[in-house]
Amino acid sequence: MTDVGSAVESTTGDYDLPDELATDRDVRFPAGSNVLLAGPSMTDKRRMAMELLAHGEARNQAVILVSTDAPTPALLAEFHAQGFGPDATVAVVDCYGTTGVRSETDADFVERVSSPADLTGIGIGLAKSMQAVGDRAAAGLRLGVVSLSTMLQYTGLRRVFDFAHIVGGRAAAAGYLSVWTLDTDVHEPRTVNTLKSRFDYVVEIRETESGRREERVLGGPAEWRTWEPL
Amino acid sequence: MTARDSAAVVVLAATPSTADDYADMLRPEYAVETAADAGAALSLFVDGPGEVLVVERRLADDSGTRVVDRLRARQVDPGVVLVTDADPDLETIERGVDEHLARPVTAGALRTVVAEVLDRAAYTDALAAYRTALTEMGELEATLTDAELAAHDRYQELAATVRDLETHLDDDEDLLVADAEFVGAIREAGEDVPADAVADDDPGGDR
Repeated sequence: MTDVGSAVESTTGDYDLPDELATDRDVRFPAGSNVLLAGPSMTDKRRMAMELLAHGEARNQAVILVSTDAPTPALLAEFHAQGFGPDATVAVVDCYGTTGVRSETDADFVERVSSPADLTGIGIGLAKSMQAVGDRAAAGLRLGVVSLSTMLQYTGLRRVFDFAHIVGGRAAAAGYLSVWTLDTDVHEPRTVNTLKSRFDYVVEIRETESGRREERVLGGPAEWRTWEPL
Repeated sequence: MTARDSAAVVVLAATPSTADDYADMLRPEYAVETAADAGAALSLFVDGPGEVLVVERRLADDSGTRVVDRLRARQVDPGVVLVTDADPDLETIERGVDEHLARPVTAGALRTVVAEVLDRAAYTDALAAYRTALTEMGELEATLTDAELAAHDRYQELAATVRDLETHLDDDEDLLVADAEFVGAIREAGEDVPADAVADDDPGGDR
């Protein structure tokens, strides 16, 4: 096989959750899991995704972040707000057109992609990021795509579904954790349902009329179907 | 996707004798045609049966990567094997090269990369059929009750197709760990393949 650089060998172990997401349960995502955070817009899914990604630092796990709907510095600031230190390994595939992000100071590696519609470019960016992270993913790697909604707006379901399946497939084969977000209220219900069906875990988030945020987790051994306050 | 055993492979090389050598290596497993020049190669894909292009990076008065650019510009998406002395890199993968093959080319190595390119095409076809079946199931689920779905022949058929394809896709997940396969699969994302088109195939089976 003419293999143009590959990710490190499969990592073993699993991925623990920040307290907010786990509520009071002892749940972990097994290596290779694909996790979707799904809920209406403005329910704080992006921050929750950042928390979940940054949570691996204590275990020396690396992070690759694909940003499509927010400036990279803002996302990195959310990481640091979670106590994600300057020595932690993070690579960024920036599709937002952020300027002024410097590889040396803000991240270990930054690849710019002109548009969230350029899925091939994002794939190249991911491959380069995995190369750049290299052995530092030995204890695990958390890969975040924030968000699928932006990609859907630019390209449509067929390509986005396949993209999510292929990236999720590589993450699964390598033992990574992949984390995705989706705004459920801006797409057709059928689009949302088709996308949901390809994830190992769907963390659903909703806001009650009284303004309380709740979650439930569908899929896998960690599943709980009743809504829990966040 | 036709059966891989008889896949149409087009060979474009710097000299006719090299093209003939490569063609001989691939026969009789594949239906091989040698192209006299880039234009002839392109028309074998645009109007003809071509599924895989084996092209040398350095051609008599052209370059293999420029031929690939022209193919992609016409929205023609065959598998591409680039024969090159240079180290493989992500840039040529980005331009549409699926596999690199170093010289000197041996029959075994050439057959292996052509098989890999066809496996990848089978993977993306299976993925597209999987997506199509899931979408059709979702449409039925939106209008029918659980009891109606249980008695619905088409729905049950789709559910079986989805289970079957899921197994195949999971089995072939490991091929995505190679960057060329990973990026190439994403490049082909969004193809329109009917749900039943590849249900009985084994995508990427006997590697």
